[in-house]
Amino acid sequence: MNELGPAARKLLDETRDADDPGVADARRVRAALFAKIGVTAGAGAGAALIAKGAKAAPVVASGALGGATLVKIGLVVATLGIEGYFGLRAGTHPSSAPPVASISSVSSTSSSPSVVDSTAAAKLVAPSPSTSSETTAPVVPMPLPVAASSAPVAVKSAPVIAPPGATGSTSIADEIALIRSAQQHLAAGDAAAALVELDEHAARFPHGAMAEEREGARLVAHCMLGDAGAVARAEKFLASHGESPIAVRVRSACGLP
Amino acid sequence: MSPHAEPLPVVEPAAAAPLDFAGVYDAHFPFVWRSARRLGVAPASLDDVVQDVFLVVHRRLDSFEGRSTLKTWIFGIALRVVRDHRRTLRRKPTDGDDGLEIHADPRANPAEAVERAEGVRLLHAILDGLDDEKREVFVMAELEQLTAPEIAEVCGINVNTIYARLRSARKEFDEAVARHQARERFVRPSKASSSGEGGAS
Repeated sequence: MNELGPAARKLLDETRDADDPGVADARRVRAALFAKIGVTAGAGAGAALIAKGAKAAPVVASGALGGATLVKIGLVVATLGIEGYFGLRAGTHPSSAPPVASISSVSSTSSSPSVVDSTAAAKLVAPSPSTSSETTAPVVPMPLPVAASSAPVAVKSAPVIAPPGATGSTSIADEIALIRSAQQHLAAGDAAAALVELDEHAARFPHGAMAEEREGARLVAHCMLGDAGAVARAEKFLASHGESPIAVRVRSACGLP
Repeated sequence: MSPHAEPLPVVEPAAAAPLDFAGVYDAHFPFVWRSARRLGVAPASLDDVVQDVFLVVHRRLDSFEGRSTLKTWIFGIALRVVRDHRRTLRRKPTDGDDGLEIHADPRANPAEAVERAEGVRLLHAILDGLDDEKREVFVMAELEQLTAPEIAEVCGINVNTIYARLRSARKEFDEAVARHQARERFVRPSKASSSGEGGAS
């Protein structure tokens, strides 16, 4: 294979560490992220991070740094809700962060007003009592997560505007909102409506971060509908995603061992 | 910091123990940050994108099976998040993020700092000129030192395709550096002659 020429190699060598984060970057992102996911970070962890990678060089003219972090409060609630819904923490995958504690932590953070993406918030509405009761139907045996009922903070009626630079988080939030909406339809026994949401997710985020969850939910829907070939497709899915958090859900819905 | 300085923990399935998210985050934050930047995420969006990556890592860490290095696994997640970010940007008007971040190195004198900043700007300009597929392979191979099989695993494509993309990306990168040097010789002949490298191959 051809190698880079000396001038190109020199440029790479000279700029190899130019994009490393600064100390301020490391601290800011760590604090924001860990506050959201409810992980308690040791005091030494930040220092270790700085020693490992974050350079001490200040960054000049770094521009307006992402102001979208507030939008993610609702996102995290939704993420944890999805985990719980799929039974991620139900026993097959021991967690290093107890879900209830995490959810509690995030929910308390979420009490900050007017910070939730309006589109996502509309779809993050906690299930109504009737919806919750339907989740115990035999075809959908997985219990609803605590997060679903303890996340009313995500339902803010006040108009919310995502700040500039929020595109990344908004996109992920949109993904999660679609998947969660599909799951709520499944929980209500409406597989056809779930497939509409899943099709929209596939169209908007064909290779999104929630693609695996989408395909798992799609199989659940098809198995609920009794579609021919759904079980075979589920077996194929499980062959490659047998250890996936959603595998339990797919097995349950499709009657597979 | 050199990317080589980071640990590349390999978790053997048989010995797999629950991974501590905080430890994983601390070990991999720098490489996720700089990789996202080099894959085209503008400075103003870096916080959000990096946090999105680690939100997914946090959600999926329990399902990590140790079939690859943790770095490769995380890179795969980062790549998907960055691709999604790019698609979102293409659907929406620009947020005014020009990506003109200039690093000031306190170890360097002013002239060196300016030269370094120019080098960084050139690097990003050339990376911006590559198409997404070549850019991804180039960043993983040349800047993060991943092997072709690792890159193939991250991208989910054949290793021969990785070699082909890397070959093409290197050629374009070389040509871009050569064009830059030619312009420098034209605009600033004294500087170009004093820095005279061998040029692109």
